[in-house]
Amino acid sequence: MNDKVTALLDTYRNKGTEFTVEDLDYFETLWNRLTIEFDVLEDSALRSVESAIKTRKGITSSLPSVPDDADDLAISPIEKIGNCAKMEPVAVIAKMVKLFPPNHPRMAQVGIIGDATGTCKITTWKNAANPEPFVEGKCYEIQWANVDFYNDRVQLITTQAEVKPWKEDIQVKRTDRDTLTGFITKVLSAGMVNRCPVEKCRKPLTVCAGGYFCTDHGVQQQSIPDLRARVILDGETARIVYLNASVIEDLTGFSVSDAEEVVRTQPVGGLFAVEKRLHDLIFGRALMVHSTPMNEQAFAQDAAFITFPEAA
Amino acid sequence: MSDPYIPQPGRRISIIEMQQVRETGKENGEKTAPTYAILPNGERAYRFFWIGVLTGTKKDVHGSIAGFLSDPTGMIRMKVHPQYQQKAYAALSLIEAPQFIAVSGKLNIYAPPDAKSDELYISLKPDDLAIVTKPDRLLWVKETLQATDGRYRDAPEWWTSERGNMITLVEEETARLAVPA
Repeated sequence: MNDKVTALLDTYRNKGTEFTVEDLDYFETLWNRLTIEFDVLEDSALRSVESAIKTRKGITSSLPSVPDDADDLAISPIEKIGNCAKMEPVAVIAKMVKLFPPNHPRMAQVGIIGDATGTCKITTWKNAANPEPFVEGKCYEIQWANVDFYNDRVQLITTQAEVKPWKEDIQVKRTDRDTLTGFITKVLSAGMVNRCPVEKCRKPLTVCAGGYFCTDHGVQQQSIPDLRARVILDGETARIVYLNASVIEDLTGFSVSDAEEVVRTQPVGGLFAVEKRLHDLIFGRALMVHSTPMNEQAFAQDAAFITFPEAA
Repeated sequence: MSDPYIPQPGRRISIIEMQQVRETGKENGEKTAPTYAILPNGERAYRFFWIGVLTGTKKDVHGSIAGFLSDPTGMIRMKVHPQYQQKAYAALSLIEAPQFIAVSGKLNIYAPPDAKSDELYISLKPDDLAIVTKPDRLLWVKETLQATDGRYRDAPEWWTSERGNMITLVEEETARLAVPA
C-alpha cells in the first residue's frame, strides 16, 4: 500500500479507529483506481480516501475531541467573544441575545450570543453533546466551544460543548450603527412585494397557479403586502442601502396602505405606478441613514432627508 | 453572494467641466465593457450625477426628447430615446420645465465626420432622472464645488472664471435663510 495512505490510516488508528482486512482492501483499491486508472493527483486522491474512511467508519467530525474528563479540565481563562482569533476550543460566559429559525434540517439552534466585548453567531447541531436548548435572554457558561470563521466573522460551534446556566446578567455590547450620507443616485428596485404569511417567514412570494408560492412553505392563499426599496446611496463611497416599509413611510409619508390604494385604483400597471411614485419621491434626494451592515449592503434603521443649510 | 456588486460612485461635475471633456473610452476592447469619460485632469469617470434646472424640452423628429439643462456654470443638452433610455424617457416626458431635476448618466461625445473645425458636441445620456427640491440642488452645488476644487491643484482658467457663480449661489441662499422671516 502507498506510504501516504498507510500514514493516513495510522493517524486514524492512533485515534482508536480499527480497520478490518476488507476495509484495507477497499481503501487500497480506491487509491489505485483514483491514481492509476483515473490519473487523479495524489493530494486529491488522499482527500477522497480520507472521506471514504470517514463514511465507512462512521466518523462524523474532524473537530478536536474533548477529553473524557472534561469536567475537571475546564478551559481557563474565560475568553472574551471580541478577542476570539484562533480556531481552537474556548470557554465563554455570554448571553443569548437572539435565536433564529435554523435554515438546515440538521441544525438544532442558531442564534446571536454576546458579551461586553462583542457578539457572534452560535450554531448547535442536532448531534450536539448538550441536549438542553438555549433560551433567548438567558446567560450561559460554555466550555469547549469551537471557534470557527465565516467570511472573517467569528462563530461558535457548540457540538462538543459543555453548557451551564450562568446566574448573573451580562451586559452585551451594542452593535455600532453606521451613519451614511449621500445622494440617491440609483434606485435598484422599489415597490411592493408579497410576503409569506407563515409566522417568522416573511419570504417574498411569487405569483403561481392557484395562489402565491413560498420556497419554504409552498402554495399560500394569503399574502402580506410590504414595501421596500434598494438604492445606491452615493456619498464619499457608494453603498447599496435597503429601506424597509417603516423607513420609507417616515421618510416620504408613503405607506403600505397608500401603495395598496394605488394598486386598487389602477388595475393595469398598478405595481409599476407604485414603483414610479416611490422612485420619484426618493431619486436624487440627499439622505442621511443610520444603518447596520447586512451582507455587503446596509440595512437602514432610520433615515431623513438632509436640508440646506445642513444642521450642524 | 460571492461576488457582490459594488457600485461606482457618480461623479459630481459641473457643466463647464463636462464641456472640457474631449475623449471617452472603454475598459477593454469588448463590446459590453463599460465606457468612461476622461476628465480634464486625466481621471476616468464612469457615471455622473448632476442636479440643476431643466429649462426646456423639445421633441425631435426621431421620437426622442431633448432636454436643456442649466447650472451656474453653463448649459448642456441631454437626449433621451424611448428605446435606449426607457426609464429616463418615461420620466422626462411627464416633467414640465422649468424644474429642478437630478440626473444620473454618462457623457456622450459626438464629433461630426464632416466638421471643418475640431468642434465636439457634448451631451448627457441619462439612465435615470427625477424632480428634486431646492435644498438638494444647493447641497449638490456645495459638494460639486468641493469635488472640483479637490481635482485640480492649480485651478484651470475655465474653472476660476465660473467657480464664482456657484459660490455666489450658495452664499446668497445661506444669507437669505439666515435672516429670520
